[in-house]
Formats: sequence, C-alpha cells, structure tokens
Amino acid sequence: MSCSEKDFVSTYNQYVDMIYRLCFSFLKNKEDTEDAVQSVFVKYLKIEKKFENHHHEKAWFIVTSSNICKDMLRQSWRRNISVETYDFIPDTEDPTGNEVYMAIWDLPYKYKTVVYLYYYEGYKTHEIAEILHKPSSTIRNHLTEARRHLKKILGGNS
Amino acid sequence: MSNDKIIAAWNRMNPDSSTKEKILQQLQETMKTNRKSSFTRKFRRFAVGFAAAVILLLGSFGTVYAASPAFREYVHSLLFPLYTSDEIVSIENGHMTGSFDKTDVLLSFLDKFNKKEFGNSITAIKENGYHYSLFMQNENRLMAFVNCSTEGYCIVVYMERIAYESTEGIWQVTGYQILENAAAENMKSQLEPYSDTTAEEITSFPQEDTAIKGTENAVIMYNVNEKENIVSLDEDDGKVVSNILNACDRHDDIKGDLFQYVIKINDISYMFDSNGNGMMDSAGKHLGITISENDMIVIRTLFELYNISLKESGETEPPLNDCSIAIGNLSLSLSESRQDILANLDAAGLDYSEGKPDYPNEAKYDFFYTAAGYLQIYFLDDNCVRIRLIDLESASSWNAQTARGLQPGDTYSQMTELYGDDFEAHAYAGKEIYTIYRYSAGDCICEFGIFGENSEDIYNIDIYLPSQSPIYEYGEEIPLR
Repeated sequence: MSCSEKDFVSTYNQYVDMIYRLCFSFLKNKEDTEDAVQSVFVKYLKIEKKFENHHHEKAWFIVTSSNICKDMLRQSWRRNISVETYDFIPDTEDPTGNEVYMAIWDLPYKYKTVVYLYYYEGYKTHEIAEILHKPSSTIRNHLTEARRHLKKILGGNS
Repeated sequence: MSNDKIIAAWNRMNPDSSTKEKILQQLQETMKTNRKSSFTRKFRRFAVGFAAAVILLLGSFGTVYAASPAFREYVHSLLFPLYTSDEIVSIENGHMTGSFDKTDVLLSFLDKFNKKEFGNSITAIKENGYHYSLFMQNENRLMAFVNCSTEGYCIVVYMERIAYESTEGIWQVTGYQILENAAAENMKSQLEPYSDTTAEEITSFPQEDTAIKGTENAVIMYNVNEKENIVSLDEDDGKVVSNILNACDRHDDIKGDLFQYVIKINDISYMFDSNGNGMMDSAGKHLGITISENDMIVIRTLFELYNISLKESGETEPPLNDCSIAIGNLSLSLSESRQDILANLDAAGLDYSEGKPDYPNEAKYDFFYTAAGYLQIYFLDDNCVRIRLIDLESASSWNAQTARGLQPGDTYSQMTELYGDDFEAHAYAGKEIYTIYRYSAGDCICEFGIFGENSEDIYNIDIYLPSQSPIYEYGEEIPLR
C-alpha cells in the first residue's frame, strides 16, 4: 500500500488502541502485544488493495489482529509460557472490575473477538458475522456460550 | 455484570502513550528502510545488469570469446539471489545473514540451476557436493567453473560482490554461461585462482569429542556419541538448544540413532545423525525443524568436505503419524503403553486424573484419564487405544493438536485443507444436531465432530484404533444437509 507517512500516522492513531486491546486480550503480555501490533501495521503497509470505506478498513484490522494473535499462539514455544509473564493490570478503584478483566482473559479464543465486537464496539450480531465471515447463527452461539462462560466464572452476576 | 464493567475491563488493556509512540517509531523506521531499499535495489539491479552486459560487450574476456570456436552460448544475465525489501531490513538488523558468503550464493544458485529454474537444459554434477574451481577477476568479481552433466562442457558462473552499508558486501550471481572445456581452460589461464585466506584449513576428519573450526561462518562441529557431551555445552549453548527444542511445532516418535554431529552456526546448534537426518533432541526424538536456507548451505558444505552423505530434508521427512497428538513438546500416540503416557504427562507437568465412566461407551475401557481439562486418553490392555480432544474451556490451556495441526476450535475448512475431502460424513440428532467427519488415516481413524446445524467449528476430535469403532452411541442418524 502506497500511503504517505502522514496518512499512515493518522490511520495508526485511529486504530492502534483497538488493535492493542484485542491483541493484549489474546496474548496477555505487553512485549508480545507490541510485536503483534507492529505485525498488523506492517501488513497494512504491504497490502495492495484499497478499502471501500472506513468500516471495511476497520474490519480488516480486526480480523488481521485476531489472526496474527492466533498464529502467534499456535507456535509451540508459546505453549510453555508461564503465567508469570502475563501483564495483569489491576483496577485499583473497583476490585470487582478485576474479576471481569480476568474473565475476559480466560475466554476461549473464538469468543474473545465476538465479545469485544459486541460489547465494546457495539456491533450487532449480523454485523459481526459480516466482519468475521461467519454465519450469524454461529455468532449468536458464540455470544451465548461466552455469556455462559462469563456467568460461570463470575458466579452468576449478570 | 454490566456492559460498563466489560467496557472498563477492555479499556484497561489500552496501550499507554509511550508504548504507542514506541511502536509508531519502529514502524516509521520500517517505512524509511523500505523506501531506501527499494531505490537501492532498483539501482543495484540496473548497475549489475549493466555490468553484466558490459562484460559481454567489452569482453574483459573478449579475446577468449572471439578466439574460441567453442563459444556456444551468450552469458545469461540475471541477479541471484533477489532480495525483497523485508529481507534487506532483516539482513541489516541482523536477523538474516544474507549472502555475505560467496560459497552460500554459489551453492544456492547451483541448486536452483539444477532444478531448471533458469530454463537451462543441463545440470551441474553433484556427487558429494558440486565440483567447481573459483577464479577471480578482482576482489569483487569471481567466476566459478562448475562440472556439468554434458561431457566436454562446463558451467561458468559469474559472481559479483555488491557493497552494502557497512558490511563486507553481499554476493550475487550476475550471470552464467555454458562453455566448452577447452575455452574454459583458456579463460582460467588468464585469471587468478581464488583462495579464501580467511578460512582455516580443514585437513582431517574430526575425531570424537574434537571441536574444529570451520569456514569463516565460524561453524563448529562436534562428534558426539554420548549425551554427556551435550550436557557439557556451556550455559549459552544449552539455552540455545533449549530454545530450539521449544521452537518445534511437532516431533515424530522416531527412535533413530542418537545424533552424532552437532553443528553450531551463528550461535544456533543443529544436530544430525550419521545419515544427515536432523534434528534430534537428547532423548533421541526426531524434531521436524526447518533450517534456514543459508544455514543449510553451510551444513551441506561441511558434510561434503567430510564426505558424509546428507539427505535432503524432503527425502528423509518421516511420514506424518496421524495416530498421535501433540501438546507443546509432548507427543502422545495410540498403542503407547499407559506407563509411558502417564510418565510423559508427568514429565510435561500436566495434571491428570483417572476418569470414572459417565457414559456407557466409556465403560468398555480398562482405564481412561482426563488431563488438563480437555484431553481424554483411553486404554485397553494397558495400551492407548483412543485419544480425545475437546474444545478448550480456558484460554490459558495448552493448545493440543493433531499431527497435522488441527485442534478443537478450528473450522471445517481447516479440516479439509489438512485432511482432504475423502471423509465419511454422518449427521445425528442428539441433544442438538451434530455432524461427524471420519477419516481413515493409516493405522487409525481421525474423527472430527461439529455441533450445531450452522456451525463450522470443530468441537471434538477423536483419534482411535479401528478396533474401537464405534466410539460413541451416536444416536439417530439423520440426512446430511
């Protein structure tokens, strides 16, 4: 992708928080998250296609971030990562927030992106289905399972 | 739990401004390097191409060409290897060695030449390595005269060293020519033989426990027969070996010879048995690691020097063992004994407990164990007859996968990509509709279960011996959709 540095910085500032959040929820430590974020933007620099609109571009970033994180997690050397390398960020004001934080961390990978897009970004299920190229019913199932999972971890406070 | 709490939790994962700034700076550096490399590469390509044409036209060897009745083919100009901008960045940052060694470049070129990638009709002879002699035009221009398959002819490879940043320069092949031997001898007589004064001479085959210095790549070769010799590696080497072992994506349960050769290249140790099969860990397990092309060239060169036949990795690649699953560095296989499997689980630090049959289909086994919450292993007559993986309940679990790399949570598409379309499919109406895809994979059956009518995600993976079929009371079979 040929874009000026100014355009790139603008794009970077627009999406870096979203990408970082998503990657951090997968990878759980800052160093790996920084690597993943960098990989996402390097891919962005290399792609040839133009995006139809802002939504298309954002969807691309979401899917790419998720895929890069899953690829990183699949490498077997990562399987032995100790929990001591996790960068847990405690909420000093609301301790109950820590439970929710950990519950999100512990969500299975396939539910994380769906939960993020639904609760944080406010997408509807059919919009999420379009972004992730999955059937709407699958997204609804994932959300149902994710809620069940979160409920189980958080002890029924829903 | 309110939506606000979820949003607040995600917000705590935001990067701070210094982190964002740091990542942006790195990306901006990458952008600058890409632009510079693109220009440099284009210029270099033009310069070298032009130089190759000049050689032909002005004839630094023009006298030879004009006088030789054996000038049969023009110099074919090309540029090998070609570097992408990312590779130049990697070389610059030290993550790749690039082609700072002419031998690397030459041997890589000859490999590609022999694969007919340049449209050539003959091949370079390779018996215990390529047979060639190097001559120099100047310190930055060499010619390699290579024995070829056509009697009476040889391949002349033109090489040039391009200045690059603060390095000694990167070698590239700029052209090749097929020449009659008589013409080649004429040419050689006008050139200086090339000798690499920086390499230490290797005059003898290494004795046991002897460390030798290799080429300018600082290759160190150990002949190792006992595990104790590996233990005696210093702490840094030990860490490197450990990192290599941890980097394995899969390993096969092949009990071959213990490795005999440990070759250290650029601070990474590679281990081979006497057949050149690499790599082995200290327990004698074969690990399917991909070695970088440059490192492979060095390894090949060393083996050729010592007349050790080195099989190409494609020839020695062991067949996939579909009867096993991998969890990190751990591999569990059907037909392994209960004692061995439990010992492996212990060694890997995986918690397990003996299961109590909840379902009729589980009662037929002598033992079954549940490990790490998502792995179930079934035994009959003390041998493993079935392994089951179910969808991960916690993201912090290890990612178990089949020998081909499929794991619960993967999709139908990934399954067909790895296993093909030659499956048996059955749909059943249980608590909800589910579909089973069953592959016959050599000595075992691989079965993948997808729940729900519209889901594509694999929930359940079973690997089992055919004698165990059927492994479930599947319920009422219904037509496939």
